[in-house]
Order: sequence, then structure tokens, then C-alpha cells
Amino acid sequence: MNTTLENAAAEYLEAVGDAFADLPDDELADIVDDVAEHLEQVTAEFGDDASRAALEQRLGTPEQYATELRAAAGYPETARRKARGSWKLRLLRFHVTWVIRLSVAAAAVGLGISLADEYWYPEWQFGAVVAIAIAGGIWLAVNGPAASRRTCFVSSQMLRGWTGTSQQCLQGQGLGRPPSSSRRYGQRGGCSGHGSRRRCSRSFSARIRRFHSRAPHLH
Amino acid sequence: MDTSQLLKGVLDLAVLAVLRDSDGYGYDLVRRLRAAGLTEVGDASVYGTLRRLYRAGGLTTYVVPSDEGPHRKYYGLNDAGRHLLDESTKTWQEFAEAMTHLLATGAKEAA
Repeated sequence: MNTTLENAAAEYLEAVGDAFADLPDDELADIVDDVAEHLEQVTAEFGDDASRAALEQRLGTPEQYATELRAAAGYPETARRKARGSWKLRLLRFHVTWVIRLSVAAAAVGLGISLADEYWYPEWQFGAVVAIAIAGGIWLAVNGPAASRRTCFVSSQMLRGWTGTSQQCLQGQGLGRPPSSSRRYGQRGGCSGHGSRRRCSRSFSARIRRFHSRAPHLH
Repeated sequence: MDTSQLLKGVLDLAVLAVLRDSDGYGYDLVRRLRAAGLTEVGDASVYGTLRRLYRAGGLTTYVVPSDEGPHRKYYGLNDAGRHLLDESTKTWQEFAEAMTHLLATGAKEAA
């Protein structure tokens, strides 16, 4: 893959992502995943001829692509809800949350095992259990069924932003900058605070359900 | 007649039908649909249809690592999906039969 192609695909993905910024985190993560995979395959087909113009010739503009996907997926046609801050930061937070959850779960299991064995709980060993648990949490988040390769996508963004290296798990995205300013986490349009995020997601799901109930041929 | 308009109504059924044979990832399904003669099917429409069928509970999904590039997200039919395929197939066959009859005989004879 050449540099032009990587940039073209990354720009295209970024623009498509912007059009879905109103969706809840998990749905957004799935879509960005799908579109990234799609762009990767299309650009691989183009070979050296890949450019933004070639992508648009094939797939339409990012806006047209997003409109077509929205219509087929049954999302509301226009993004009625304001975007909840930067979608990339939201995805990053979503995946980091998964790593933390899985680490805590793994730590609880490790602690249980170490306490069950009466000969095995000096302090340094407990530290080792916690370290292994965090590593296990990251491994589960990358490889486990719940987060699939989404985490790979985000970690590639983080590493790219922090170290400048290109990543193997999702080449050519080049999207990410690390969260340089934590204040942006607070900007979520009409939804502020951690608790209300769930309510926003739920009300969006409710809207999706209502939308589907008006399209009975799906069921 | 604009084929893309016709496609909108039957894309669910077409996607379910290509998944009946074997599981596939998004772009693979786009290619299979085109190879089957639905040349005007839009890439984004297929991805959107997969999202909708998945949310409706008709599909399973799993990730397969790939040596050449990124992992691929495969979709497959579950029991609900197969049931939906059967129901939609019946609906389509009745509809297609009625249209074929109408076109062959004209409205007067059909009535």
C-alpha cells in the first residue's frame, strides 16, 4: 500500500465516521470496523491507482456512502441527535473501558486463586497477579469475543499517535491522535455526565425500535 | 425500469440467500451478490443490510484472523435468520408468480 492510498482511505473513513457520530458507542464501533475493513479491501483491489477520486468513483462520496448505509441499516435518515463529541475519542474511551473491565475480572479470578492457596500470598506475588491480570485483560480485549478486533483498531490509533509507528492490525487508517485534552470527554452534546450517557444510548435504541416497528417487513 | 429501486425491496432476502450457502464477510458478500447477477448492488447497502439483520437477531458474527491483512468479520445465519429466509422466500415466490402471470396474460385475462 502506498502513502497516497493510505491517506485517501483514512480521510474517507474519517468522513464516514463523522456521519455516524450520533450513534451509541457500540454501534459506532461496529460500523467503523466494517467500513475500515471494506476500505481496506477496496483499496487493495485498486492497487497503485487508489486515490480519493478513485474511491469516490467506486463508492460515492463519504456522505453518499453514509446515507446509503444508514438507509439500508434502518437508522434515522438524518442525524437528529447532535454528535456527542469526537467519535474517535468516544471509541477510544469505549475500548479502554473494555480493557479495564476485563482486567478487573481477571484480577478478581487471580486473587481468588491466590487466596485459596494458603502458601501463596506474599505481597510481591499479589503484585504479580495484578500485573498478569492487566495483561490478561488487554489480551482478552484484543482477542476475546466481546471486543473482537475493535481494540486492535483503537490501540493502533493510540500507538500511531504516541510512537509514530505504523501498525499491522489495521494498516492505512492513520486516524488517531491520543486524547491530548481530557476536557473533550465531557462534550457530548445533550448528554453530560457518565450516568446520562446510558440514558442517551437507551433512548436512541428506543428510537431504533420504534423505527423498526414502523417497518414490519423486517420481522 | 430502475433496478436499484427493485433491489431495495429484496436486498434482505438476497443477503440471507447468499448466507444460506456459507458464512461470509461483508465484501465477500458484495462480490457473491454481483456474481449472482445483482450487478447494481451498492457496497454500503450490503453493509447496512448486514447491520440491520444482525440487530434484528437473524445473524451471528465472529472474527477470523487473516495472514494477509486485518481480521475479517464474518456473518452467518442463525435459526431466526433461517426462519426469516424461509418466510421471505415464500412471500417473494407468491409475489413473483403474481407478477409473472400478470405480465404474461395481461390484467383482463388475469381478472
